[in-house]
Amino acid sequence: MEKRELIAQLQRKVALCDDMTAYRGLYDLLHQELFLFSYSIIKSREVAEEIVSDVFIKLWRIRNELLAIGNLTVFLYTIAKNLSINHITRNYKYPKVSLDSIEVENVANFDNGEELFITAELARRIQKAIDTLPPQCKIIFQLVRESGLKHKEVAAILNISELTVRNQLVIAVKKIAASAQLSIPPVRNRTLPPTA
Amino acid sequence: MDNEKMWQLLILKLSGEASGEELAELELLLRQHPDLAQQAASVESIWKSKGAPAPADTDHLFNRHLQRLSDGTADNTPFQPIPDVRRRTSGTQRIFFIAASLAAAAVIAIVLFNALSVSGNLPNPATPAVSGNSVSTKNGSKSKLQLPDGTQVWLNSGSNISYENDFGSASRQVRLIGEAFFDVVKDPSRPFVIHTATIDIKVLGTAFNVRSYPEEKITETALIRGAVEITLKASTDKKIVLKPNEKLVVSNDSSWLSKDSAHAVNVPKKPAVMTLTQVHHLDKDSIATEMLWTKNKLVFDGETLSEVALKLERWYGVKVIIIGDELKNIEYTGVFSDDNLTEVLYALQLSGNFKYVIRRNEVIIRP
Repeated sequence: MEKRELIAQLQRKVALCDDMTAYRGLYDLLHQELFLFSYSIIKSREVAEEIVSDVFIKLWRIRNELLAIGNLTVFLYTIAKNLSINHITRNYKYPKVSLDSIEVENVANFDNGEELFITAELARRIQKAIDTLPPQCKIIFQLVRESGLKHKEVAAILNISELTVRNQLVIAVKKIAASAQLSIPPVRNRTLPPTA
Repeated sequence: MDNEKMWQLLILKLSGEASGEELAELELLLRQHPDLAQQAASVESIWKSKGAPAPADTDHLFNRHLQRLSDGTADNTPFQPIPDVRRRTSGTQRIFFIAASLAAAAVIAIVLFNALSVSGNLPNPATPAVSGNSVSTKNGSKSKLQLPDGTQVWLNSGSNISYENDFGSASRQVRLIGEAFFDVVKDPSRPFVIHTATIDIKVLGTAFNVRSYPEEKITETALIRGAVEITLKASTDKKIVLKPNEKLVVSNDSSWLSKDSAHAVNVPKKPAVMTLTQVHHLDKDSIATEMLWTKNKLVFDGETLSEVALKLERWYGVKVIIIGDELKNIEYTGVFSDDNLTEVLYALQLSGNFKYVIRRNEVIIRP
């Protein structure tokens, strides 16, 4: 079954039957990606883990109202975002801070796939390129690529337009393409223009 | 320049959001521009080169999470609104947090308690004051639990099931108030017995629904498969064995037993003292109406508005008041899946010539 469908089904079970097994199912499906999301903002594993736990506590508390929530994934991400921002701005004088003014940790994961396209050197270069992306751009890239969220969902979570999501992704991907260009396997190198 | 267009289309493709047309357009574009095709190909490989996520130890994490959920430790900071945090956090809000966390703790305690007794790791539960185990559902919520022997129980709203700590040692006995659907694990050496106010049901291994709400006039046992033996509390010599798809309806008022025979009394509108009927299917191949509630379907099967009102009260956790006696005996039939209270009332009202008002947790039905 598709993940979204599964989430919707578990959501209903938790809402109608206080079903602890379904609750656990939701936790298993979503805690890791929520953790990465929170961690990229918080940059502390302990705190990010606490925040994810708080998100699920909230979920349990309002379980009887869950049927009213159209997209649970977006809902949980939004709570995670708010808790994370709250956490780092708690000691600020003016706590209203947008994601873009917070330094975001890079949690993208590039692995030597089966084709061994990604050498260690290339992976390092890509990571470096991602590190230089603006915070919001980094977050968007991670939400779409690492967590497989839809543009619409990312837009809802970050409170921006879908067009912005897409444009930010283009920026990210162009940067990555540029960083990769120097090390593309030589066989196909002929057709490349000299510079980006 | 088409360059930008290519990136936009590529992003849609990589995110899995491109339409067929967009994919075709991208392909065409890349065929026309081999240099772009090269870049696109490498970006695509990079995008897709995700290592499999490391399987996390979710048991450990989840248990720690449950601990926090029951401790209420999470309440110290995170749930407060961003602005004006300091000024508004005192007094009532904190009390609310404490209350909420206590409630959560209670829920978790019950759940954990069950989980532990299922696995048999807890010979002496942490709450010695209680000599057994009891699970209740409030109006408006349902629950599913597993007994120590593996038997599955779906507990409908406003119900309670309890069993002693020695459950399963020699026999399996539970006490039920309200409605539950049982899927009993077969074990001939340890008979499974359900005690209700009016009847006892002895089971070998089977699935069936029992409905025995104190505020209702009847106790109903609907057998889906297997066999059960029912004993009437008021006259223990009467034993009725149900076959699959049979349903026994017994009046909760036992005064009739002193009279003569105990068979179907066909006076409409008055519940028969004891009736053996068939489990009801709304249409062929559908599951029995008696167990539809376990699938989250709210069913009225030729039920009067007073009966409907009782069901609504339990299902949605509201109070329903009917003004006007003539309304009370109008019968309704219908199945509602996942509808909210307003939707159900609206549908009923279409066929019922009544008006309704919902005020907080109260529904008033009037002509």
